[in-house]
Amino acid sequence: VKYEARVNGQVLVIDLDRPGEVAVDGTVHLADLRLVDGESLYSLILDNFSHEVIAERREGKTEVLIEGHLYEAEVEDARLAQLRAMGGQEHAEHGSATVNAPMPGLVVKVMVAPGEIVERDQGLLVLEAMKMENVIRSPRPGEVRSISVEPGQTVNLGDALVVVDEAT
Amino acid sequence: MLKKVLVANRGEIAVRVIRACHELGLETVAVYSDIDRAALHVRDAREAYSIGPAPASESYLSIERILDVAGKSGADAIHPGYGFLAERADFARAVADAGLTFVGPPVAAIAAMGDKLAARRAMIAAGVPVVPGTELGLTDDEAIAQAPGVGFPLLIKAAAGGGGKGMRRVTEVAEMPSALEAARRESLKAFGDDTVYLERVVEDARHVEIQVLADAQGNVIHLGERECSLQRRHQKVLEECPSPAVDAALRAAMGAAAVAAARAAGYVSAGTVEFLLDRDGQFYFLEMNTRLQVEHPITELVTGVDLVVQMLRIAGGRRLRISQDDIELRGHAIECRINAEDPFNQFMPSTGRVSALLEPTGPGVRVDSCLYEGAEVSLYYDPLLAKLVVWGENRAHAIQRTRRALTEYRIAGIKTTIPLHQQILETTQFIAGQYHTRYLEESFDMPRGGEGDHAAVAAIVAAMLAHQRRSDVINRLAPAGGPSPWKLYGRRASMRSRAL
Repeated sequence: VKYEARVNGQVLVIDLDRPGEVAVDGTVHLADLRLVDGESLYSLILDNFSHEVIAERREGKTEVLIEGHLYEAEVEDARLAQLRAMGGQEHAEHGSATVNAPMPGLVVKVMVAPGEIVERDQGLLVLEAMKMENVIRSPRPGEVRSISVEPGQTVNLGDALVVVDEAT
Repeated sequence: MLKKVLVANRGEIAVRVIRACHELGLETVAVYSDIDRAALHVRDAREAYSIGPAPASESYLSIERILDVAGKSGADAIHPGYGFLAERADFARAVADAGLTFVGPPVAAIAAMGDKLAARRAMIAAGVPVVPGTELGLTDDEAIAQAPGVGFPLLIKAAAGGGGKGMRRVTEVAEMPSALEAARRESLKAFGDDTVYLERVVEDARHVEIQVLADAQGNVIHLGERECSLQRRHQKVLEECPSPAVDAALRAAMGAAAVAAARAAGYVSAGTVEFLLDRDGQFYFLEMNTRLQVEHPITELVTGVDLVVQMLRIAGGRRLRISQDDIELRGHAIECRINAEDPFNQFMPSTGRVSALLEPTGPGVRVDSCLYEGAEVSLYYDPLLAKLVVWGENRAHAIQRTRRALTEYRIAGIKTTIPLHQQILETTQFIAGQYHTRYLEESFDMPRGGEGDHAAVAAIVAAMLAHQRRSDVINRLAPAGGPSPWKLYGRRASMRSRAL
């Protein structure tokens, strides 16, 4: 099976048809990948070079930490990638943006009100975690459509906090 | 001498103190909140007592519960570690009132140095240089009116503060109202007090601190400096000893000032006098930390003195056996604070279960840690998980060795600041020793998106994992009945994935 892997703007075609081998853009390498901890720590021996990496899935991408550098890889089945390329453009970003809690924490302060016009990166609320205050900012300019939390409330990772939409 | 020490703390520092106690043959008592039942300090101590639910205010900050355990266990001394109750004069007083020994300074010294204004006055009286600033207890209007006189940029600081909490940097008058509000709110929450004062920022300053040791017989010595200028949000990130900016003459001058400060405070035990050091080698008293510091191990590696052992000996009434002449700095040490924060995502706190842990060892490497495989990192406490402390024959050797140790260090399951340290150790500013307290926040960017040399390796790993996921999906889709083309495909795929 052929895959297209996109890392740092670079696209590599990776063929994994033969066990123990990986063909990268047609060049064959020996590859042995072992999961060490049952979760995310891997040992890779690639052409007898030993690498230790932490790989995790995040929002459809694979984040790979190698020697202090974090790489974001997007992998697609090469045939699907071709179909998509023929099918045309991806849909543009528009519409409302929901700001979710990037971590569990305590809402200390809400700095905006529904109907308020905000700029990109404007502070929306203050979330406290591990005794530090973190300002949660708007991902886009627009109008605050709704606020689903109030000061004193504890939120979990990923909880919806604020919806920012195009100004009406 | 003491017999049984209650360690009123958790995390790596509780483990550190317990180690020193055991080396001295002292019995140890741990206290723990509900979520810390399986924590290392609990398992390392000889006795362990539950003191309440996870929130610190109901457990590690409860003087009543801790003293109750001291009574039940028959402990004769309490070591507070750092943070929590370590710099609370009321705690030290309560310990003394209960007839126990507080392993730390006298109540009066904690109170005097904890009151920033009193400390400042005492330092001026003792001839120790201080930074320009205001009196305490300003109203918002007074603070705004006096700000231009102090000079910008300035810091709004909480009178009861420490560790950067309740502190705000302000560059112009217009920022004052919101900064005052934020500083007061944070201070009120962290310390139960919203008194603030203003202090001028010494531009491009380094944060250099002097370690002191004082016994109850009046002997005071210093153990050289620690360079603590690499900071984020007023939290130290990486420290080294000695400082690349301090030579023997400056060390002697700062050391003498620190000893004078300790004497003026009537100090006993291990303590630290923090100074700002400007580009011209002028230094100013910042504050005195009346406790063991997080970064104390680098001083231990360079001087060969075990500071926690010294604290315990001094608390037991012993006289210092080391004199100033015995203190010699040998080699160089670096400490990397390993925090549960994601350096690739605005240092967001990271929580979860540690799925893999491999700590570096080998020559010159020490790890003070509270981690173990399976440990749960929660949001309740400080993000500091571990300290990697490395000794080398000289600064260059220490840097090389720290890099080596960081490469060996593996923590999976949570995000940590290990990559941050790896990146810092590659910057020319760090290698040249040319950095000040604003360097990390103003001039250092954590590279994102893979600027390193291993993009192809990352792509291969990601593709192999995608291939494995695909095989797993196919296996799950296979019907339970007779062989189908799907199932046969799945078998082949799973054989492939095993071969990987």
